[in-house]
Amino acid sequence: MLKVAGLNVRYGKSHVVFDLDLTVESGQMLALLGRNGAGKTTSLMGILGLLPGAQGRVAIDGADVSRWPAHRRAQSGLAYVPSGARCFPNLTVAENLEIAARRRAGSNGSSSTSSRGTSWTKERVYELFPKLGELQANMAGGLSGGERQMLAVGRALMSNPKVILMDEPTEGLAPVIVQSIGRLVLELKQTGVGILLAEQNHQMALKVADRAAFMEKGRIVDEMPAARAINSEVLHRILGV
Amino acid sequence: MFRLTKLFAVATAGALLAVACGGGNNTTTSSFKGTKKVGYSGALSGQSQLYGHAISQGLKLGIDDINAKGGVNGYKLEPDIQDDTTDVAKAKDNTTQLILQDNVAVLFGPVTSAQCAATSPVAKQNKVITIAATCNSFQLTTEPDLLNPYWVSIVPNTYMEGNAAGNLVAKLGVKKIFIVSPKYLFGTSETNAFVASLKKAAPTASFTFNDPATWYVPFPTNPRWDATLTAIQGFGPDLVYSNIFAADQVNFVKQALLVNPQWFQKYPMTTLSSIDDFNALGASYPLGMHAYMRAPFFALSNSKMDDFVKRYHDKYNEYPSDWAVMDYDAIQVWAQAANKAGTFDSDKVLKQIVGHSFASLRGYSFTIRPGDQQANVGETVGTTADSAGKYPFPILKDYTNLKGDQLIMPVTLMTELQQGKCEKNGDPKTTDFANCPSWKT
Amino acid sequence: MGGLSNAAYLFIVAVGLSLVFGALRVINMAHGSLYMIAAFVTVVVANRLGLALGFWVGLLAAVIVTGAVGVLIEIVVLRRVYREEHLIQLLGTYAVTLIVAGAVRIIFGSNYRTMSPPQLFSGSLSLAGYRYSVYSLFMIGAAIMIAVGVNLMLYRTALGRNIRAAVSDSELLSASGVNVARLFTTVFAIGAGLAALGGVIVAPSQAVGTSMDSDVLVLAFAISVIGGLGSIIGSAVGAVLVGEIYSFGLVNPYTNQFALAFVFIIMTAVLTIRPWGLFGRAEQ
Repeated sequence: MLKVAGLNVRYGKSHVVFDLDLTVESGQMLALLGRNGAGKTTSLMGILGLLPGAQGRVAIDGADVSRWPAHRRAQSGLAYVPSGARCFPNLTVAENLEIAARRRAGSNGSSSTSSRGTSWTKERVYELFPKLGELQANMAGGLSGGERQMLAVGRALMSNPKVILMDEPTEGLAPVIVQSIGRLVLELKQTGVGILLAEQNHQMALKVADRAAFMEKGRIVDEMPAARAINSEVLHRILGV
Repeated sequence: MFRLTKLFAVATAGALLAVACGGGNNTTTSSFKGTKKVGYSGALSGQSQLYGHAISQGLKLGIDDINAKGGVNGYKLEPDIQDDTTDVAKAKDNTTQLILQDNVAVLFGPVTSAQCAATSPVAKQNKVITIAATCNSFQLTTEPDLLNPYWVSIVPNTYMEGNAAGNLVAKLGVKKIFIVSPKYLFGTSETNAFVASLKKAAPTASFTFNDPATWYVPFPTNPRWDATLTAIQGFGPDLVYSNIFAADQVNFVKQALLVNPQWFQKYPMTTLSSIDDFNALGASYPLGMHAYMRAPFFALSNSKMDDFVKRYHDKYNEYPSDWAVMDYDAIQVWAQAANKAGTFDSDKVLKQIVGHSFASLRGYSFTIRPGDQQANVGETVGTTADSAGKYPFPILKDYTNLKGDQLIMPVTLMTELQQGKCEKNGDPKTTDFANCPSWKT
Repeated sequence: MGGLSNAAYLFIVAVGLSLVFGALRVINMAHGSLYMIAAFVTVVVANRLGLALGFWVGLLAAVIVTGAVGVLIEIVVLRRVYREEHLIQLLGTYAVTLIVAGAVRIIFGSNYRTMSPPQLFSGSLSLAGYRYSVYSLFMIGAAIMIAVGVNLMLYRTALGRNIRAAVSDSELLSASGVNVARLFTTVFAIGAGLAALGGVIVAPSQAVGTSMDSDVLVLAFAISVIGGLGSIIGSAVGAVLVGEIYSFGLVNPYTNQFALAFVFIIMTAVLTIRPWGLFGRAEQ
């Protein structure tokens, strides 16, 4: 599904991410855990093709996309839920969703494994998040934090992605909403979507993830099944639990 | 921060510009002792680019002719022409550079009087002769602060031109006059001269003008004249008097004709004009316009002029405008004097200019008198008429070539001005000869 | 009235400048050059083809030529400087103005060129005792149509939605699968097209010469700054303000020497009180 090998990211002269290797399988979730500044966000942006200083191999469904610009990676199945639920504040909720709307790229019928065969539309997003349906004509800039998070996820879904890269989707949200996001993630996995979740909040992450990778100073220092990670020594060491 | 590619791009741009501006190659024939540069800071772009373009061509042709006859004092002349974009500060910078870096032997005056007022002190300080053939405010040669012994004017100055225009309008029998003029030294100088001359020429007539505070429009101005056109309609004058020129005149005429194809029949106009202005509008230049012009070739026909027009046209595929004619004369004046002096020393060359007479393309000889070092050159006044296919623009019919001696400022008046005996007024505040004791009597 | 026709062509030019700045965050010094190219192309084509068709074919030719030059500028120059500071961008686009100025002078020469307006708009009509040229009214009408057109494009089409998205977050836009490089080229081409329309529309009523580029650029900048860079309504209000102030200043006693100064006094006042312009948005 998504395979990253030997990803290095440099900002000018400073080297931020070192030899990142990771794999996200279809219908599986990999939690990328680490403290603030460990390089999680940079890693996601490097995978998405947003950083000109990123080098290394990124493959989606076996196709090497390393030399592709961000929009082509997005079209071939990568979706992004950025931290802070970034959206286009000067566009309406509906426009925010429409902007990512895309028939599944490269869907030649057989190779596509994501979703249940029905593709995501605005209407399906509104079914999933009725609140967004009510606010569809409002400017996204006026939404609450939780609403914006729904919108960010909805926008990612609109591209009918194979893999979603989520950057701290629970940051600053009320526990109730965190729980509902957890449930949503589980549902998404069942549709065959792979998820790469960068988080500090390990409790929710490890509940829904299949595997966990720990990141420290720009490197993945350990990787293991999520169930084992919950009581691991590395979790205590890195996240101080 | 600067990546190499960017530096490269900027460098390429610079190089291209240098080519565009014409560095020109100077092959020196062995018969010359060397080359001497002659400098001109001119409006090759901006509001007065029409004129700067013509002047450059006139100068170059003059230089070719002089070099063909052996140059000056055995030296080959080389034009050094810098674009000042019709900007005052740029003209001053150019002049400084022409003098200090390029060591020019002589300068030719920029297009506008404001530029000349700014460059004159620089040339004076460095003792470089300037022959002014375009900018013509009488202040340049009479105002105490501006006096420059190295400044020579071979263009009819604003006193002479205002005099010509005032006498022309006095004969038209009009009462209500709308004045439109560019707001800088030249406009104030020429408009004041026109009004004073008009009143003197028709002492019994009573004229109504638009509010003097509305006579002047900013210069260089916005290309839209709609507001002025509306104001003229509101005032309903018998005559519009203008000394707007180049781009301003072209735009004014074009937009007036769009408002009313019969505009200039409804609001007859007396205006400064030149072949360049005629040529820019071609067949759409209004007929029946009372124009006063400094050196229209077709009205000054003589064998020298006709030969010049032919050669100019062969070389540039254009007709020489008044400006080309006058600057051709200008370089001949200097070359003749420098040859006679046998040196490039400004003081010695000047002695061969002031008080001497020079043959001119204009069909007469003119003399540069001491005092204001102004040549007694003439002005042509007439009414525009169809050239019947002879030229791609109109000509003047019923024209008169006024003589320089009739127009030139009386010596008493000149002396009073130079001695600061006349009050300043107007905006920009400048000497007004109408305030001189001898004018009032 | 006089002020409005003044405002009309200034709006058309300024709105393109503003649109490009809003989406690309680049101050395009070459905008005036594009306007000048269009005016020259219109005059040359129109004078060759004559009154009946000349203006309209000239319009088409000017928009195509200028759009193509715009695309070239975006790809060759701007793409290299998007991530640089504004000074580098200014220098880059300034270099383009010099190149275009030189090229125009070589191709078209330094004489003014003039043309007649299309017959349809060549008359005049009386209004409250004054005559106005139909062409001035056409200019005003064209500006209104362009304002409506640009607005519809921005708020009723997918392209417009993407442009607005790029204004706030071009990174997120490319992560959402939109080819931002191509979008920027498109926006720049539209901006060039608007500059072209401005150039086409003034060609029949003004001398077309090689200093048109800088003449218009100064006022277009003033308008964009007053109205707020990136705002269409801002450009319209700014253009009417500048056009009217200028015309009013020009013909009234005691103000005419300040006509241009007024424009910049207002610009300075706006910059002091609302640095982002009357209708602009403050940058975070």
